[in-house]
This record gives sequence, C-alpha cells and structure tokens, in this order.
Amino acid sequence: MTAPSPKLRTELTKAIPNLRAFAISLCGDPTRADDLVQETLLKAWGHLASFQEGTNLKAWLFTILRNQFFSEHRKRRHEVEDADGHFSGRVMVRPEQLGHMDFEDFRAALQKLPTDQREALVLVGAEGFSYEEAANISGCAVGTIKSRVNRARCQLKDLLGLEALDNIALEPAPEIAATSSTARPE
Amino acid sequence: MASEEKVAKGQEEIALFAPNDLASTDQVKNSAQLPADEKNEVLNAAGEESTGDQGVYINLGRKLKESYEDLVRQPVPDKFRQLLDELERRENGQ
Repeated sequence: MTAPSPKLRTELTKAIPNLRAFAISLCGDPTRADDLVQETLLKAWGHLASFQEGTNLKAWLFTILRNQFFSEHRKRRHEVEDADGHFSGRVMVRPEQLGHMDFEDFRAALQKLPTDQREALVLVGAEGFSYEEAANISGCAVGTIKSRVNRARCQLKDLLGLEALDNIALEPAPEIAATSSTARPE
Repeated sequence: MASEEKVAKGQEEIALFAPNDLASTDQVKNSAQLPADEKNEVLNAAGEESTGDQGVYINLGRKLKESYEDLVRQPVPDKFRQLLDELERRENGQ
C-alpha cells in the first residue's frame, strides 16, 4: 500500500462531507452511512496505487462507495419497502409550499424512490456530476442515467403531491381546504 | 467558478429538467413564479411537459440541492480523521 501525498490526503479529507451526504442519500440511515464512508476510505486507501492523480478523485471515491453500498444492498434481501408511508394520500401541495417543506419530509420522499433512480438523481441533480460522470460512477450507459433521472423526478413530483398550477383541479382536496393557506408562513 | 464552467453547469441543470434532448429556448409562460435568474435557464422541451410542470421540476431541483447541501454542511465526526491518521501511522510503520 502506498500512503497518499499530503495533497491527496487533503483531497480525501475534503471529500468526506460529500461522501457522507451521498451515503445518507443512498441508504437513508446516518449510522449505516458513516460505516459506508469508513469502508470507502479504507478501500480507497488500499487502492491508491490504481488512482491516477489529476483525475476526478471525488468520482473515484463515489464509485467505490456506491459499489460497496450495492454489494451490501444485495445481501440485505430483507429490506422492507415502506409502501404505506407518509405520502400515501394525495394531498395537493402548491409548488411554492415546497420551499417551506422541511428537509426531513423531502428526504423521506426521496427514500421512497427506487434506489437506482435516487442514486442517479442525487449524482446529477445534487452533486452536479455530468450524465457521463454519473454513468461511469454507476457503471451503466448515459441513456440509462437519463431515464432514471427522468423517472425519479416524475415520481418525486407524484410522491410529494406536487402539481403545476395549471394542473391543479378547480376543487382543492378536502385536506387543503380545511387548513387555510395562511397556516403556513409565506 | 469560471463563467464558461457556469454555463456548462447551467446546461446540465437544464438537461436535468428536459425529458428529451429536443429543446427550444422558449421562455416559460408562468415565469412570474420563477426567480429572475432562472427564467433564462428554462428550456421548453418539445411538447412533453407543460410549462407549469417545468416550474415544479425547477423547484424540486432546488429543494434537492438545498437538502443535499444541508447534509454536506453537517460537521464531520472525528472518527474519519482518526481513521486516516491511523492508516497513515501504519503506513509509516509506527
């Protein structure tokens, strides 16, 4: 094993917050996420010889992490899909109310997406990788990433009960009518 | 970020919200609900999305980024630095 140069060690350290964010997005559990990140750092350290300095370290680390996640994921066949969740009732949420939705609610909806869709959405939409970088990280074709992203955002929109203003029915759902729109601070 | 990079990033942001790659650069009809800096970034994907839906997707994208950034900003526990320190110590045979 080769120790990283000080510069590489610094870059490894700088990547940790993003690795943690990505890991939490993948598995939804902060404890498991931290374990994932530690395993990733261990693996990365052991494979530093195969990392080409000057190439995208973050992408390389993300690849290691997601491979670790998915190989563990396959072993956990008992993972329960939460079908009867928070958002099983369709409630009309106006798009501007999305701004006031707290992160926990948003992340809960995100966790309901199929894992590969969530992964693609986070890589492209949150981390800002290009489609091609995301495809390399996920080990699939660019077209696959695109279709996953499209399905993810569509499903997220449905999960959150979001409708465009011009799609909202004239009769609002009873839940919304019961609570006045001034209940949420604007 | 250099301005060319920013444009490239913006293009990728647009790509996230265009269901197909055929896009014309019409302005969104409901642009009143979008902040000024995003009005120019919205592409009208050929026929598949209502202009209102594009607004929803932009808001979703923004929320996704904010939520993710919130995670990135969380303080990092010591154990990670300690892990790297330990790995380095072993490397140096100490």
